[in-house]
Amino acid sequence: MSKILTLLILGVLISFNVYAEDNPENKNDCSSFNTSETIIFKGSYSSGKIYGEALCQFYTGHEQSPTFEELTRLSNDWQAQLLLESAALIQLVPNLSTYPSILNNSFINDYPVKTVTSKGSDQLSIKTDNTVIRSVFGDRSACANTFIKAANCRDVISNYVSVANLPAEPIKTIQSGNALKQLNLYSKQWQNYYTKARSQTFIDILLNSYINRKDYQKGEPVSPPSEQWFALHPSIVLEYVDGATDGEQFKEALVVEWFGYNNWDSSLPLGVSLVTLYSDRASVDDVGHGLMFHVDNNYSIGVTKHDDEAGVFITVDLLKLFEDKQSNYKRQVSKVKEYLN
Amino acid sequence: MSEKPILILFHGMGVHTANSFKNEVVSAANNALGRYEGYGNIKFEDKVDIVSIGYDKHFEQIRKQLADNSSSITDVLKAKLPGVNVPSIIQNLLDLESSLGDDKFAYTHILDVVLYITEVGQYVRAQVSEEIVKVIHKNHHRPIHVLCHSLGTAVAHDAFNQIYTNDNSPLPAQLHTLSFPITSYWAFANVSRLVTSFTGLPSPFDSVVKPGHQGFISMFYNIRHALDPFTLKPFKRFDPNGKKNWLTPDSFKYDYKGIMTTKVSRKNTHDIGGYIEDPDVCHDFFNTFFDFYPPDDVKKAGDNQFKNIQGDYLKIKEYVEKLEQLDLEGIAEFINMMKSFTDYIKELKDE
Repeated sequence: MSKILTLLILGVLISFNVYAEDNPENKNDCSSFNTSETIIFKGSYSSGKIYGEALCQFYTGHEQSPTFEELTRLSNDWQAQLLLESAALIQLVPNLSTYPSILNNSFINDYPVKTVTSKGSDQLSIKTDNTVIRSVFGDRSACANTFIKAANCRDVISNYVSVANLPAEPIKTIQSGNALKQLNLYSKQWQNYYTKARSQTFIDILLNSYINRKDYQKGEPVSPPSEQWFALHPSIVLEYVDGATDGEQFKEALVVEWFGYNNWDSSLPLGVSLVTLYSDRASVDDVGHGLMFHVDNNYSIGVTKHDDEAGVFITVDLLKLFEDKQSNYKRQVSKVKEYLN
Repeated sequence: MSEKPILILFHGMGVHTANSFKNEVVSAANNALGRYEGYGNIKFEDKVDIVSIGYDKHFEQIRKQLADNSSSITDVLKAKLPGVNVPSIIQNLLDLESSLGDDKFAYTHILDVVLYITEVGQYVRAQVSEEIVKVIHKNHHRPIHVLCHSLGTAVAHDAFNQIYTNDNSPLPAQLHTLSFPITSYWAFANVSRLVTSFTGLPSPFDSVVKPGHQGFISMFYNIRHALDPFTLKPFKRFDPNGKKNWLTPDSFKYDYKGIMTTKVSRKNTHDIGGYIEDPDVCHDFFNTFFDFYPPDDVKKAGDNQFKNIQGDYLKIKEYVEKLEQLDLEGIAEFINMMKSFTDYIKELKDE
C-alpha cells in the first residue's frame, strides 16, 4: 500500500506542477487541472479536484480566487474523504486484529481533523478541536501482509499520516510563511536594539528589563522597546574647560549618567541624561554636574559646571569603537584634539 | 512517501555551540545502539535530519559587549585618569563587567541564566523563535521532533509557547497548536518551571507546550535523573503527575511519559550523554525514529552493558541529599547550587 499511496501523493503534487509549467499561455485557466482519475481514491477525487482548482486560483490571483477561509474549508472536505478512503484501505491488511478506531468516522463528520501524527511504530494520534483519537496497531507482524511485502506498521502509519495531512500542506505553507515573515521582523528589531541603539551596561539592562517586564511576561512575540533608560552609566568623554590653565583645558574625563533616556528607534534618535563629570585638573574643581544630550545613538554632547567654571564635552559611543580595534579610540581622540586646537 | 523525520535540538547552559551539542546527542545515541547486537551498524544520524539551534552566541554577544565597553573605560581611566576619584559603586561595576570577558564558569554558565531572566531573554526568544519557524515552514510535511536539555528546556518552552497558540485567531507571528504538531518532545533535566518562576512568563502548567487537544505536542517525554541537582524538588521541578489539571486523564496516560533515571554512568549526572544512553530512555527514544525491537536476551545484554558507577553513586547521593534540604528562596540559591555542583564535579574528577 505504501507504494500506491506514494504514487497518489506524487500524482497530486505533480499535477499541480504540470499546470504551472505546461500552460504558460493560460496562466489563469485553473480548470486545466489534471483530470485523470485514480482507481483507489475514486471517491475523494472530485473534492480533491475542486480543492486543487481553488488552490490554483488562490495562488494566481484569479478573479474567482477563493478567500483563505474558503480554501481551508475545501481542504478540510478533501481531507475528510481521504481519511475515510485511507482507513478503508488499511482495513484490507489481513489479520490486523486491532484496527485503528479511525474507522469510527463520526468525529470526521462533526469536526475537521486538524492533526494526524504517528507515535512510535504502532500508534496514530488524531486531533480535532475538541478531542484526541488514539489508535494502536496491536499486531505489528500483520502489517507485513499488506499489498507490498516487507512493509512494516511504521511505514503503513507514516503513509497514512502523509495522506491525511496532504490537503492541509498548502494552507500550512501560507500560514507558516506569514508567521516567519513577522518573526523575521521581530528578530531584526531585537538585533538592532543591541547593535544600533546606545550601548547598555548590566545596570541599564536590569532597569529596562524591569520597566518593560509586563510586555515580556505576556509570553507573546514582541518588538523591543523603542526607548532606553540608563542608570549609573559611565562613559569616557573629552571635556573642554576654558577657565583651566593651558595644557589642562582639553582633557579626558569620566562622566556618570545617574539617570538618562534615549529614544533610539525614532528617525532622529535623541536622548538626555543627568550627569556628574569626574576630571583630574589642578586648576579647576575635578567634579562638575550637568546635562548630556545624545544624538543618533552614537554621539553625545554635554555641559557641566565645575564651581564657577563651565565645561563642554563630547563622546563617541566607545562600544562601537572598541568592538574591533582599540586604536580607533586613539585615532578619534587625536582627530578631535587636532580640530579643537 | 516517508522522508526522514526532523529532530530540533536545544542545548543547555554553558559553552555549547549548536554543533557541539548535536555531536553529544549523536554520540550518545550511537554509543547506546552499539550495546545491542544487530544494531551496532545503525547510525542515529542516518535515521533523522538534525537541526541544532544554538542560542549561546546571543548571550556571548551581550557578555562581550558588556566586557569590552567596561574594559575600554577601565583602560582609559588607568592610562589617562589615574588620579580621578571614581565613585566606588561605579568602579565596582566596571570591575565586574570587565571580568565578564574571562572564561570562568560563572560567566559562561551562570551569566546565561541571569541574562535570560532579563530582557536579553526576549532577544534570545526572538532569534530562537525565528529559527524554529524556519524549520517548521520548510518541513511541516515531515514529522518534527524536539529534544531540549537543561536551560534549553526553558528556552525551548518559552519560545514554543510564544510561537504557538490555541486561540482561533492567532497573532500574525503565531501558529495554531492543532495545525503544526510536534510529533515528540523530549525534555531532559527540565528547568522550564523554575526559570518561568524567575521570569514571570507563563509556567509549563499554564502554557500550550503540552500534549492533548489544547497543546501542539503528540508525545511528551519529561526525563530527570534522581541525582541531577537541577531537577531536585526544592528547585521547582516540573513534575505534572496528574496535578493541576495539566492534561485530561487520557492525555496524561497516553501522551505523556515521565522518566526518572537512577543509574550513574558518569559523575556529571546532568550530562545529556548519560541521559540518552540510559536503557530507561533509549528504547523509547530509538523507537520514536525507527524500529528498535531486539529480542529479549539481546535487550537484556545490552541494557546490562550500561555502566553504573556504584562508588561514585553513593558520594553523589550524599551530596544531593544535602541539597534537597535547601529552601529555594530565589535565583541566588539556584546560582549557588550550580556553582557548588560544578565545583563538586571537578573535585570528583580530580580524585
